[in-house]
Amino acid sequence: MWALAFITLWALFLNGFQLSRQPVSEDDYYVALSAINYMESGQLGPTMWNHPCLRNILVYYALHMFGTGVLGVKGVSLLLGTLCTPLIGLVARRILKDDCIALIAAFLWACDALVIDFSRQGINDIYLSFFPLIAIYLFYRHRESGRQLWLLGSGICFGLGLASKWSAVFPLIVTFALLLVTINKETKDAIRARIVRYCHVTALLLMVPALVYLLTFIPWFGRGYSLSEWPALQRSMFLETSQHVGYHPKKWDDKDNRAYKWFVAPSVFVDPFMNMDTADGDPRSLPSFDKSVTVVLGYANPLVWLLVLPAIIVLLRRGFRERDEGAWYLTGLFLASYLPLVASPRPIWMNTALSVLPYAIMAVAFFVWTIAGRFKRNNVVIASYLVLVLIVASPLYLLAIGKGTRIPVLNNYLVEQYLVQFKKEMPSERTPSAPGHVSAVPAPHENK
Amino acid sequence: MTTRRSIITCIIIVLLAAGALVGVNRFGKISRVTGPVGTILAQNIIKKRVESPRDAYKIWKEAGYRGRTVVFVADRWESFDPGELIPAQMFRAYPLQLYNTARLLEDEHLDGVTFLYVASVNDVIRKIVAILPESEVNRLGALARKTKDFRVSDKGVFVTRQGFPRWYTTGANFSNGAEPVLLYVGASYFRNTEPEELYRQLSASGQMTDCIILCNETGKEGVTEKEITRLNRFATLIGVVPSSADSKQMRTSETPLQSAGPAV
Repeated sequence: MWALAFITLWALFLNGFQLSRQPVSEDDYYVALSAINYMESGQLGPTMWNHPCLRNILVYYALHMFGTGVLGVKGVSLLLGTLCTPLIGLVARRILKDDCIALIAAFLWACDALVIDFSRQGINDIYLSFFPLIAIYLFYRHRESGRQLWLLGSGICFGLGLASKWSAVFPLIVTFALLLVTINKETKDAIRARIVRYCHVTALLLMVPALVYLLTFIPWFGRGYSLSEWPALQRSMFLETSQHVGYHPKKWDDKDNRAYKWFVAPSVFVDPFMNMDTADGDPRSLPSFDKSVTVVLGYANPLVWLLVLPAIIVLLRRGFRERDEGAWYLTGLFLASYLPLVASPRPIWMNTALSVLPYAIMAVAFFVWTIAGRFKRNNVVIASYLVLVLIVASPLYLLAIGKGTRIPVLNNYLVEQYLVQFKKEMPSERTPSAPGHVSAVPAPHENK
Repeated sequence: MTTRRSIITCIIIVLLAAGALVGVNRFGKISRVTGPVGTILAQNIIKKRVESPRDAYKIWKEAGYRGRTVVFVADRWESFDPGELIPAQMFRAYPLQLYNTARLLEDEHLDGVTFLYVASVNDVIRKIVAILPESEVNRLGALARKTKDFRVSDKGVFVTRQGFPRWYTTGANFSNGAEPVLLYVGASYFRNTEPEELYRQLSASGQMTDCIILCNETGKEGVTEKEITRLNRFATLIGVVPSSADSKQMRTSETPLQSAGPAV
């Protein structure tokens, strides 16, 4: 427990290090605007209108609580991204029934560059890790205690996951299926009890999430829409999401947008942006191009990501050989979350991997633990592996927090690779930045 | 977990779900604000003549209408990219200077092309039914086929923008909606259509309304004295004295606006 707490603190440090000094990206800015638009006018957008609306609600209240500083804009992602670390450990311990695997999983999660990247951004991809994870944790608490409040909590959290992005439906389906199988086993000939329990879990794990999802649209209903108009909105959102090819053409080489590549080749999520703020707030001169660009790169750590598919095979083997429910469940979570993305004809960028990564990382932790178990000094093998992961993760961390262009040997490469187009759009003079339409969000008091 | 407790839980959740469905539906409907309602000939509804669409928006806004369907009658649907109206924010330092996009658009980008969009983001309207010439509906049908969410039929074209619904149809195919609408009639519509024809179509539809705006669309390409004269004739047909002068109320109900309940 202490080890998990320590890893969590370490994750908080990694996710929060110099966060207020990381330039604000366009996504971050528009996330805040979208939150205001949604909560004050029920508007979807300007950014990512086709996704459900929970982010708008959470960010809006964060802006109210913390002002328009870094905590207001990114505080929710920072919190949820960091809390994923202990959750990975707690869930892995319950699924795979081993504390060591749980700690390995938490460690791998805490130092993953993609996780760190999105725990430091306002957009909501990290929610897709957090809400299903906490829902699964509560589901296990229900199984351990038999108390339905845990299952109700699980249903609510799955609903919040759905209200973040629809891909939360995949772990929900797998968890629901596991519950049905469990009920089948426990109520062999008691048909009436079986039907009642089916209805019970259907209510708690299907109706409750649907209800939570619906309620997050209340600001939209406030525009005068009735329930009969809501399916048309969902249809519109679905059509956009299922055929989405990006809001704007990418200005850089955009090749890592196929999910099948993630675990077979080194992949990266690329997020370059310009921000013309001067470091010292001096408005008299524009910063140089090199100082105004930030390249955030969420590189997959090859020592972890390339082990995912072998790990799933080993997990499957354990499921078959030992009829291990946890192995089946974890495999199901991974495959159900991953295969639809692989099969999708539209581009799937690596940010979406965060809906798969918790299960992938738990599988890798199991794999490492299993392989190390074949050696006499298995602790040394595990420790060596983790040290190697950390060594590789260190430079990736700098890239994930946007410090890549500050590294001399990388600067030219990054500029050439991703930012050539930005140079053409470099404004020649400062233009008015903030229109005079301040929202109901309280006057900013930046978090120091 | 006893069977009895499971059943009780199921019942509670089903009741909660039903309550939530009824609740959000009612919340949506009572969020609409409407005035006294009648047919286009009714004397108790607001009927105003304005020079520009911008004036129409101001009348709707000042009257406090909210969550409404607008029936927009004109000779063409003018498109623009709302994304270009929002300033690119190259300077983004903490604490962020944030704003409400709807208010920004209202204050700085309200014009004859954007007024319906501004009305939508400011929650005055929640859907648009546009009555247009057949050639324009056909043009929009071809454009709609390039979008992701559309339906094209003999009756017209349905398309959404970021989930916001729009119907494009002709006067002949226009049918009565279930709720009273804000009716906007632009002079440009009468370039190729006689006012008697539109009057007959609207009357036949039995469409209810609480506000009719007749807009001269001053400055709009193609709007000449002929169209203004025809708009005057249309005004006479719906029972008001025409005027092409300044924005002028032709008849205004003294009855205050009301928040519409489910009966709307």
